[in-house]
Amino acid sequence: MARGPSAAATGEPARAGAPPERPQRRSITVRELVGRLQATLAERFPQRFWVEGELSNVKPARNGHTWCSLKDGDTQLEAVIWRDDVRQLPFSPADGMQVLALVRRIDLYGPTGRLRITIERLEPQGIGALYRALEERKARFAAEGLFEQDRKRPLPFLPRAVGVATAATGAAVRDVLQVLAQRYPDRRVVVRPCKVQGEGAATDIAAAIDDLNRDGTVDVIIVGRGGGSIEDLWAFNEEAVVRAIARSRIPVVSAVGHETDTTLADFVADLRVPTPSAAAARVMPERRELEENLAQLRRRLENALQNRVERVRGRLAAADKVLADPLRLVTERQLRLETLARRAREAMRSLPREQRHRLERLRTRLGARVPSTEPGVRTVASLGGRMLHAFERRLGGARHDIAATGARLDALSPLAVLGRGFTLARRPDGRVVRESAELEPGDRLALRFARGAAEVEVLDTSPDGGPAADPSRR
Amino acid sequence: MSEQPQGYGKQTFEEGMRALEGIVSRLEGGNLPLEESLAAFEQGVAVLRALHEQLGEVERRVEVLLRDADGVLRTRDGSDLTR
Repeated sequence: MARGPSAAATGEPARAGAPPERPQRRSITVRELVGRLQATLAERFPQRFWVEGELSNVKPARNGHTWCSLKDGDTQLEAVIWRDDVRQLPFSPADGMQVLALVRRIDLYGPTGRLRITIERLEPQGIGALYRALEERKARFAAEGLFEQDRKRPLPFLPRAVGVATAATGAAVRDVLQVLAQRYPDRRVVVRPCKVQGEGAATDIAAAIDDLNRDGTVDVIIVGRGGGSIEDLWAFNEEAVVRAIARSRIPVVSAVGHETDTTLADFVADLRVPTPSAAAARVMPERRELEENLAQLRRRLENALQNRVERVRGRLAAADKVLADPLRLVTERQLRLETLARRAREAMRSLPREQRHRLERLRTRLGARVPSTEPGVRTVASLGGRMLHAFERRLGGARHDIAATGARLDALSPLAVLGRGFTLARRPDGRVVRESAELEPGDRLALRFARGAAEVEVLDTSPDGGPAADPSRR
Repeated sequence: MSEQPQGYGKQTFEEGMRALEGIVSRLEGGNLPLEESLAAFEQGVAVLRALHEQLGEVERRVEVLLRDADGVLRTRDGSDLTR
């Protein structure tokens, strides 16, 4: 190295004719420099102006201000939107949105030495930008599984109370209340009013859903608003709303009045309908219809039992007819026998003499071999009589059953499907008494009348008393 | 605060309707012995009564749910909202 030692010592190249003394240099303080830069900025950008760029690093602060960056390719500037301006924004700023920003001023902030622009207004630069941001968010939630079909819960068939999260004024709440009242008058409705558009709407909607869950008295929640532009509906695309719907324990119906655009709230909700009125119609059945259904079921129930009882009664009546005279069967056969005998005698008289004699002889021999039917007829008559008694006892029991059934039906059925005036006797264990043989003097019985009941004690029983009135022979 | 919003008690209206349909169908089948038919009928009448009670659970009320500064929820009458 062939360097002069003096140059190495001063750290700067030697200059010809340089004064040997320390050079007189003009310098300013950092504070002055910053001041001048600030003055230059103010002078150079005296008025508000619009800047086009993309939002990034959007951070809403607790105190209401929003910090963000305005970016264009690999160049970016720090920016702030003061609280009062944040409230006026038509949508919530989000990362990736392409915007036009109205810049109020540019500051070089002394304490940090950083340049910062103050944004007064933001406008989305074209709907396309909003949609891009929306699509990104949608993909993220979808990846989390928030929109899965198997997350969706069925709505209650008949809610005891309906929760509504929407603006306190406007058509939406009126429509919902009106339709609910039409379908089911006087069912309870709990409205949690909330802001549905503009800054703060998303958090308020989310809080409304949370509050209705905390309150816990409604069985279904309608969340929504009337129609509007896509910007008006933007709150329903916000993460806060999507999360609140996803964590709601109560099924949520979204009714964000817009036919063409589906918000993220619609995707995550248990049911999506286009309007608040439609939501009300879906959550509440018509009372009149339910009452008709019940009336029809009641008729079927009563008819079915009546048919069942009538069938038993029909079989008993048929049995009654046959058993009324079991000897009739024997008598019919005797008559037939006599007819045959008469015809045989007449046929014989018309025969030639020789053959008649031969037949007479055969008849005499036959007569000696054929036993008399007399004892058989007597046996049949006796058996028939015993059978009749046995069947009558059975019939008595069956009639008694029907009488008891009738009495219970009278007490139960407003149509009084069976006869009146029967009394149902039950033992203390609830069993129905069918015959006196089940009873001992001193037993206690609960009697049920068409109206009212009584408790009685058995004084005496008789085995063959039978029911005083026979309902099967009205 | 309860885990779930309080349900309908034992049976929802829909469940009740389904149970009643089942009872009616069984009875309409006509194969039940008389005593069981009667028991089914009694059960059906009980379900019907419970369903009518649920239909009748109404309160002429629109309420507004509000949260005060302390986060406490309270309600006020909301009949003005219908106007």
